[in-house]
Amino acid sequence: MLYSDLIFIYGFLPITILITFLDRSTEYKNLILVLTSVVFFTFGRPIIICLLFLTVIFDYLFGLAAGYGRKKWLRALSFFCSIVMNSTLYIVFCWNSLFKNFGIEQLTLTKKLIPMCIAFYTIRGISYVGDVYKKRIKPEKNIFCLLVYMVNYHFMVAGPIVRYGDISDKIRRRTITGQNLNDGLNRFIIGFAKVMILGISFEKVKEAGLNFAELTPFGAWVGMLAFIGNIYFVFTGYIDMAMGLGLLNGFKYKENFLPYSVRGYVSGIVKGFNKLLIDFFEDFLVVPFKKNKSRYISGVLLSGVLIGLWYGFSQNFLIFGLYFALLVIIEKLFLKRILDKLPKIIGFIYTFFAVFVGAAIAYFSKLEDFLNWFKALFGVGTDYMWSVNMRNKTLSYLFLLIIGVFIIIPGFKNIIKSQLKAFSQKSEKNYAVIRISQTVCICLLLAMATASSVTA
Amino acid sequence: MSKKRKRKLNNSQVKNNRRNSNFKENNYQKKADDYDYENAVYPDNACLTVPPEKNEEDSSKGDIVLHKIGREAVVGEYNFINVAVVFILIMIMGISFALLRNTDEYIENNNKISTETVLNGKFTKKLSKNYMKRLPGKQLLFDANRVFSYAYGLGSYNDEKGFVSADTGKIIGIKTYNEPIMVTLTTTAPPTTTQYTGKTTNTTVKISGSVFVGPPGPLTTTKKTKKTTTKKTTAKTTSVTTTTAFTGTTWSFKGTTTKSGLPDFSMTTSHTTLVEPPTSASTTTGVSNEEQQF
Repeated sequence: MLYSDLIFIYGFLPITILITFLDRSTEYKNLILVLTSVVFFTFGRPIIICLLFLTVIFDYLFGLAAGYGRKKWLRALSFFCSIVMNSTLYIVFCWNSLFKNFGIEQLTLTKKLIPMCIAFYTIRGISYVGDVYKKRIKPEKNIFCLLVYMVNYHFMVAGPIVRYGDISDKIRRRTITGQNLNDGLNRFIIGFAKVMILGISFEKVKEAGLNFAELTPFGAWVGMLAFIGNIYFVFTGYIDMAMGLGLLNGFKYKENFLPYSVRGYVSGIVKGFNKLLIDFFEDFLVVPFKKNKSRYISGVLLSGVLIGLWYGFSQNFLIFGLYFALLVIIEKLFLKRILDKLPKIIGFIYTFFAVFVGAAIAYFSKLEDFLNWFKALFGVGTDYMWSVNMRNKTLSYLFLLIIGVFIIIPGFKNIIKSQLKAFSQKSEKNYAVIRISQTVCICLLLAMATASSVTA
Repeated sequence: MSKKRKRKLNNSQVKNNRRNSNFKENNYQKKADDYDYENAVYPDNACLTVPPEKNEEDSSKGDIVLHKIGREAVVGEYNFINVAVVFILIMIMGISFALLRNTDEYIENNNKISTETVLNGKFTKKLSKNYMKRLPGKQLLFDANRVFSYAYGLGSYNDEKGFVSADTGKIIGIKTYNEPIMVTLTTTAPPTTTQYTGKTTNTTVKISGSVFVGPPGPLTTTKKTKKTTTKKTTAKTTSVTTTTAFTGTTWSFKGTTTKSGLPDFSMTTSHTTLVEPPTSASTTTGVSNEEQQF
């Protein structure tokens, strides 16, 4: 089950909200959260996969050892054990196809036995024990609180990587206010619309543009841009839905995306896109070695490799991680200083092309395809400017594509927000108009996204 | 640290605290005095004007608190409206999706709830599958999406294959619609059960659909039902369904387009058909629209 499934939105979600509000105590809310998470986790899968949650007991014990162990080696060992256990789980479930390739039939699992989004689950286990080991947080003595954090379905589908320290106080005590409900519902529906309307529109244009049967220069450029847009809207949409679910349950998770800054260059985009994941790897692999240049470089490269492999076990993701790690290092060493002295537009062009090529590395799994696409950008190996299908798709979704581009540009969003704020400040009537319009827009978005979901 | 020193520190802390509290009070009072109630707006997004009867003389900390409460009440009111409307909408759609469907459909799919099916995940899997498959009002949602797509798109376009020439900017690779087009169509007739043959009829087949160059793609044809008079013992006029008998025959024909949009063919063929005799003596007058895939 995904957040964008209609059975989730019109079945699971309202039932969960209604049950949650039957009692005001946090303990009750936590219990409901754990039970609903188990249902979410095992929906369409055998209930036996809940055995996976037994690892919470081990993470709990490792956390206690890492926090209260008297010897340093014991604390380090418990952290190491947590890394080994969770990484093994990740490899067994996420890279299960490898076992088949290597002929290890015993470890090959059927698709229904592989739980969804195990990557986020395992990384939460490592982050908890790691944070305890690094003395950022105290070890949790109540295993139920840790269970609530570990199995929480809010960040199961696409993250964000919420750290235990960020929500530990809310797990113990939280209230759901009217403001929470309002913001949560709005954010959830906006996320749903992002995935089902904008995400799908960009995907259709991408499919038409990057169709190798009729690759053209226009298709190569617009198709890759559409791929970036598709990834952005699907990913941010799911994160928005997760944030909304959190608010509906009284949690407020950290933001996972930073707005794009022209002077941030590629480092800014790397840090701003899936920020909490980058922070996690940075905290453990980069920050401790920041003072030593060579160790810092190796830390960034290792982070890049691990992040790439975390996204997907294939050579293109490995190169993708290394590519961005190298760019971050180069910028840190000298490029940023040079670009700062140049006009902003040069920095923007550099960032645009760097991200454009980086996205292509992630998209194409074969080098041959990548090269053909790269040649097609400049019209090499293509006879035509664009295909009719590409033209039609672009025209069909042109309005949505323009809206999508404006949403990605942070300046435009801020202008709209400030204009609406200024308008609503003028009088009580204006404020009412804005709020009622907001409600109407949210209902419309819900209807449009639902219709799009059925058609898709 | 000596006791004297400690006492001195404590005294200075007390003084500091007192000074801070005095400063805070003065600051609040100053803020309240400076507050422009006539043109005031609230600091957050809920910016509502303060009631006009307030004036500077009445201004105090209490007023600010009252206004804040008033603002929160108004914001809360709109929050409530928003949550209520959206949640009710979700509930209505959720209930209609869950209830407005034939319960037999669940039985048809053999999705019975039992301990075993719940534990092995088959129940939830089928539930999820059936939920989307048997969604009520699916056609309505399809239509709604089409309407929405007209709102945010620039029109409806068919998926055509072809390229836009870099030199001329014209579409090449597909035929233009005002030229005669040679299309090869293949048809497979459905099996017939009756042996009542021997009638020769003329069938007018109207073909519409996208034209592809290369291997023949699936084109949709609409065949108009025609009335055939059959001489039977009842000797009544009936409307019958005819089925073509040229199983697997490849037909080649030439057609001309009549519209600038989608190609529109008209052709007349003469062939033998199997005519199904009426099953009863009663008169059937229904007109059936049969779609045949070429």
